[in-house]
Amino acid sequence: VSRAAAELARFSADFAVPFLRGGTCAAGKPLGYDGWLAVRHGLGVDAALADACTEQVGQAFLWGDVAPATFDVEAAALLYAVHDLFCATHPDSARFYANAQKFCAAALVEVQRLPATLDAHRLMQRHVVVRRAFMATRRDVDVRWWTGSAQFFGEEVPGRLVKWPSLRNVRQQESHVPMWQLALMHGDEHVRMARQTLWKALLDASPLTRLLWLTHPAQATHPFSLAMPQTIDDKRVSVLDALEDRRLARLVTDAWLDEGFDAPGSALALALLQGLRQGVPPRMLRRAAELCTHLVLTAALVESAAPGDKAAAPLRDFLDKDGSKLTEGQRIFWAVVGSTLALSQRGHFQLPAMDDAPSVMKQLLQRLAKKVAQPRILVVAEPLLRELARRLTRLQSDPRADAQPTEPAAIDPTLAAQLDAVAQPPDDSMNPATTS
Amino acid sequence: MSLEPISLGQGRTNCPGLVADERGVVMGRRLALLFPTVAQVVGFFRSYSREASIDELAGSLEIVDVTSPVGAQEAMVRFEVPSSYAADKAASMGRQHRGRVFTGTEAHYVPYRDKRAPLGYDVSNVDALRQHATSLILHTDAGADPRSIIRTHSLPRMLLQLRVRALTSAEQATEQHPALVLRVEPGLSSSICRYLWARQIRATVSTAVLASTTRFGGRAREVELVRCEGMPHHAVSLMKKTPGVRVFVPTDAHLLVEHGYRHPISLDSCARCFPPEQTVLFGGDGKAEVVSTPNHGVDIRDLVEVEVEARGVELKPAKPVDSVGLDALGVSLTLSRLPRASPSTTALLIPLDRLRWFTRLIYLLPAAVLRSYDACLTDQSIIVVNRAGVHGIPFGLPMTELHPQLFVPVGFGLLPRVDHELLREHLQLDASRLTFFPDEQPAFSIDAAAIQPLSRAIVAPERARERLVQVAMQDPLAELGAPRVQHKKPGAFSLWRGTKNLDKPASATLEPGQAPKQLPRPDHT
Repeated sequence: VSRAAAELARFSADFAVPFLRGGTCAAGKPLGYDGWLAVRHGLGVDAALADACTEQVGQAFLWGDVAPATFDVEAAALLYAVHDLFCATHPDSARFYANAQKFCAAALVEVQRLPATLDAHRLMQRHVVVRRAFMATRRDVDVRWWTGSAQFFGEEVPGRLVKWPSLRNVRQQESHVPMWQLALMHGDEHVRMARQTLWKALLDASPLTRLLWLTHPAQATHPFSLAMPQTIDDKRVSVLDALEDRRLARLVTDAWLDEGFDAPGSALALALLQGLRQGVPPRMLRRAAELCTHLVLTAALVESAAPGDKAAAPLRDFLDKDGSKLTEGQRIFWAVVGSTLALSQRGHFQLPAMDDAPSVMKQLLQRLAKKVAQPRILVVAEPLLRELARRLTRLQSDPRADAQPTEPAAIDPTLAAQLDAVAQPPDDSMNPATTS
Repeated sequence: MSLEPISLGQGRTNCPGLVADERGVVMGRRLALLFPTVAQVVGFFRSYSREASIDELAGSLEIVDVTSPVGAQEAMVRFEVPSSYAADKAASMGRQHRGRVFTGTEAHYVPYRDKRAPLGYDVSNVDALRQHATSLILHTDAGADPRSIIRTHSLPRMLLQLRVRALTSAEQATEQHPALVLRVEPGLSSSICRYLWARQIRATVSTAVLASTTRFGGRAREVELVRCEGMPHHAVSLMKKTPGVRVFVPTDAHLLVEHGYRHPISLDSCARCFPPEQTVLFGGDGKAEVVSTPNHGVDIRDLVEVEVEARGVELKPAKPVDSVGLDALGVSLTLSRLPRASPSTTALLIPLDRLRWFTRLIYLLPAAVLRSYDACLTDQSIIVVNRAGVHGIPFGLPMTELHPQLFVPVGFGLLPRVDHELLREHLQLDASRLTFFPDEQPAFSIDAAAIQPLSRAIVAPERARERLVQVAMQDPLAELGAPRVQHKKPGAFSLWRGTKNLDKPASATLEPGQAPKQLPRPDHT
């Protein structure tokens, strides 16, 4: 018991509390399975750790109106996984006697044991922890002096190396490397693969993080999918189903509008196309299309209320600029919006009534309807409209079709070609071959 | 034994003039106190005047010198007493001054009651009563002791002959006189009255005639008696130093004792010894003056002369001129050292680098100081405030409260001496803040609510203050910063332990959405 208490105290003081509060957290010796047994119920036992967890509740209210669930074993599992993931990025993890990949595998087991959930509070709790893993950085120092040099990756530079800086011509160059980059791209192959698997499991365990940070480079290697890998009651679910909670929907919309909604909207539209190919339930397609259109309608509302606001900048750009300047992702996004607007006239979607809308908003939507009818967007929008109409008609005729698992369906060849065309090549900065 | 104690219920006495009162105490109508010298008589009157009124005795009071048949002289005080209660009080005071107390009515006196005879004495030897007394006969245990009166003293004369006693500084400090009387020579009265009138001191002036005449003209000498009310201390000091003016304290309407002195006998108990039309001035030089005040006093406001410049000349109408505001003078307010400034220290400004000294000194300060002193900490100094006076802290700049909530260094003042309301308006002083004008430093003000008792500041140590500061500095709406990862030495084999049963890579065995039913556990054997 005393060893477990000491392990919990070390984990709390060295890593968990500074990790949650934004300090310097130490990652050296991984916890392992034995350490996990010591800390799994420790979030409410250690006073400092409990305070740090309580502080996250206030932090969560900075982004949305949803309070995170109590930090229990699930949050402890995420913290444990993040800790061992960071430990596995230690420069010594590539030594011949090291088994860092085993620690990642053990942590992966715990993360994958977390049940899939669409509860807003639970999603917020997981996001609070995982987003801090996205934010974490490591300080690397390159020290050069008159006779030599040394590199320190996340370690303190010995004082003897930086003494008499003018006499010894000491130069230090610091760089702060994101931990997700280290986890996904650095190190030996077998350790890196273990870290990537664990990182993907963390993202899958926190679908809200995936959704909010849809355009984050860390998701490039594991693209967002409409259907979550887990099932709930043997039913495929999507994180978009969680947007039934208005607070979460407002949180996601506000975050994307603040970021510039065309970038996450493009990623979502691509996920929609990918969902068409994968044969995801029509419900998810419908939610994705609705969310894309909701973003545009909200931006139009913002523009009518506060002309020139940053949140409506992508809409203004689309309406005012030449359509040939659009990226492929943006073109698909606006095609999804155009298809949704067209399908709403057939009764597949129910858009808000425009009777009470401001006149400026009406004018913007009229301009939008003309803009999405331009040939470059129509090339994608027309087959997309047909596919969506086919899937959504099936949903309307048989609501149980949504619950039944669907097989991957063949989509329109035009759409498939578009999807292949917009599949982005891997970024050079993300290519392990160029960074190792 | 020629005396015998009166027994309870004794019906008659041998000595004539003795009767029993309601308590059964047998005594005569008079009480005779026999003292060795006149000095003891004065002592008796000093004590008696503080306890009772001599005026009640004045009708029957006799102060005489008596002589015995062998020629020894003694002083005797005789007076009538209404009851044994008054006689007991006079007898006890007489015995304190080595006096022997007798009671009787005419010539025969027996000792007044004492512990040996609570109801009094009677003469047992009747033959002694048959002697023909020349003046009076005192009956004692040794027999009849005749006395002859050789001289009679007057109480007023005795009072006039007694020398007043100078008060100590401590007594003078506690003296409070609502009214004072100035004895002013006639030539000075107008100037004195103008001085008093200018300082808004209420006073009345009456002319008194001295009993003595002038040495050359033989005319009656006159002095002015100015009765002042509410005279300030500095004016009294000035008048006492002024030649021709003497300050007297009225103990009664017509009995005055010079300021700083006191008559040995309480004069308010013997005011009727002197006629009311006479005023007696007991001077500090031992001389007493008796003056007569035939007229009533006149208010000095009616005596101040009003001079009209254009006397006898027709006054022309006033010529209008342009008026200029005083602010055009451009007089600046300065902090200056003043010789008569307030010396009391009501606040201390301790430099902040003396904080260590101050905290050490707190261990030595008494509990009353910690309880009554207020303090606060600013970024420049420690401020200690106590309106009753700051003592016991040997460092820091002493400050005094010149006006309410306005502190200046001790010995300093603000010139020109404008009043507080004008200062508040001019300097825009806030009533809820304490303003300090330290010497050679810029003025500053602090919130009065920030000052708290020193004891409270001690028990709420810096730790609590730091917590408060942290709370104040930390924005509750600020997002926490990003965590920074620092690698520590993991140990030689730390990456080698703990998961020995996970031989296969998890990525190969665990597909997403397929959590293992049985978690692999380490082999503890």
